[in-house]
Amino acid sequence: MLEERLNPLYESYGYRRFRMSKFEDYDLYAQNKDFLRRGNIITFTDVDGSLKALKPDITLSIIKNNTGDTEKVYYNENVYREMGGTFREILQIGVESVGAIDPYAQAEVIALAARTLETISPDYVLDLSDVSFVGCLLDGMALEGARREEVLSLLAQKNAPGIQTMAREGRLTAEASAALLELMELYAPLREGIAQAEALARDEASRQALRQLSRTADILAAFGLEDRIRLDFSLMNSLDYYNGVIFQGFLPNVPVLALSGGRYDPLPRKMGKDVGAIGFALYTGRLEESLRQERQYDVDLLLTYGPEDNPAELAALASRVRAKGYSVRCQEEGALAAPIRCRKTVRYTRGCSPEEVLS
Amino acid sequence: MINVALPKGRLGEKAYETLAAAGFDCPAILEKNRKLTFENPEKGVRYFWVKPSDVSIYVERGAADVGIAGKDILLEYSPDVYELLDLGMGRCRMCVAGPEDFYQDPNKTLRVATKFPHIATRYYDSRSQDIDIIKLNGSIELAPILGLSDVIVDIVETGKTLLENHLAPLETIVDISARFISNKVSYKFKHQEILAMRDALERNLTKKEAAE
Repeated sequence: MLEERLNPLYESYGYRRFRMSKFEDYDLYAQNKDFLRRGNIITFTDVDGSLKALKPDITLSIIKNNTGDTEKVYYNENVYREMGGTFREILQIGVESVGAIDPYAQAEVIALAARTLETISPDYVLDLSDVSFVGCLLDGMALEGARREEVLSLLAQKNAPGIQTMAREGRLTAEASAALLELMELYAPLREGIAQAEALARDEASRQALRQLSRTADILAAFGLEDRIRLDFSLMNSLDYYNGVIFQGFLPNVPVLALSGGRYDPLPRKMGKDVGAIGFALYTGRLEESLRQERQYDVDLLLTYGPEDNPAELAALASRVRAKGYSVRCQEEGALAAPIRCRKTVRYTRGCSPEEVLS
Repeated sequence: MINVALPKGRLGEKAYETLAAAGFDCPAILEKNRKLTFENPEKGVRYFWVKPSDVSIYVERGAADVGIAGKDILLEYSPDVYELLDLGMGRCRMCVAGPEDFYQDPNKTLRVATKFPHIATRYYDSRSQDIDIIKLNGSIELAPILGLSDVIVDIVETGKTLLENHLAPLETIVDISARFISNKVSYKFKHQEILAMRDALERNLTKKEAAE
């Protein structure tokens, strides 16, 4: 199981396991609706009349329970979410670092995200963006309201024709459209990408964002991840809550997003806590289908017997074969059984040895 | 190897020609047979034909790395893909069409027949107008003739079909053309290959524009 391989990783960085009950007050989710990607939640009335919910998310509970101290936690918890039109129970594995988020603490979480992906496949891809940099750039273009939304969704699609159309219709200046096209084209290893982005920075705030990013890149290099992380400003998470670095992870042969995370200081602030926060979650539900190893056989040996055979002797033989590390299924010969894939089928005969049936 | 989903029909054939001219040819595709996939290992491409409205599904789910899809399909289904290039082919308009002398009675809810319910809903939402959507799968022009709907939202290429049925385009919602789309994860893992394909297509386009 995935969590058995990942938990020791998080513990080796001193992260503490966070556990919680299945239920949480519905209020928590109602008040932070825009933090959840989808609003649908399973609710029920508790015996005392209060409205409860089956947790659709862990991060909100971690922040709610934070007392203002620095905390580093990881979790493996089931969440209940709508997927493809029905509710599903999904195992979510994640890491959250809450408190004073200094440059090291931030880079550590990104490094853990990379190590998480690496545990699953060495050929992972981790992409990084900074929403504050993108925000500064859009501010500089005086993009507000619906037009800003439109540009952001075009950016997420790397939709160059869409930007060109906006420019042609006069809804973007030629300069802004050129900068946006350059921004969505940018896809390079972190340091190289930052150098390219410097050409796009027009004001002090965006240069400041790049300087911080560059500091993060230095620390990530110390983690040995210099070339593994790429800069891609087309990444989008729900933007209202993320305020700095965001990142997404991808795995070969998994056609959807595998991991997603970022810096989300506005959430604890909204809950009245003076702390910062950064974290990520692994979407295990999507991974399982792609990573499940195809088993060729259900059982190594199918041992068939007839009514005349002695069950005690059959059981003894089967036990001896199992002791050699093989799986054995005993089944009456000719019985109507559900189809099963076995490596080898042997008819039991009295007195045969494990070596004989396995040869 | 890049998997390319092509829309069945004229647009797909034209798109293949452009890709072939851009250096991604696959001669097997021209053979007349019932095969569904065509491969050219030398050029590192595999093509397959799918229903035009399914191209974005194949690409979104990663069964195809890239594909050619009409902007109408992308607007209707909003798949989570990268839209990398406007191929400038298959040009047409998404229009509201209706009887030539159409008068909209402000006291009645407008009945709209269409194959594109999301596009129609979004368009009328943006004008804060309540409508009654009738989703049809074909022969949309028939709906206003038989009084099933007041207007239709559909693709208009030349307007000939409309004219023959005494209908006329009333408003243009958006211009449509074919787009080169890519799966978001494939873009990351096959970045060089997909960019090479996009750039080759783009060069081919500018060459064609220059010739015109």
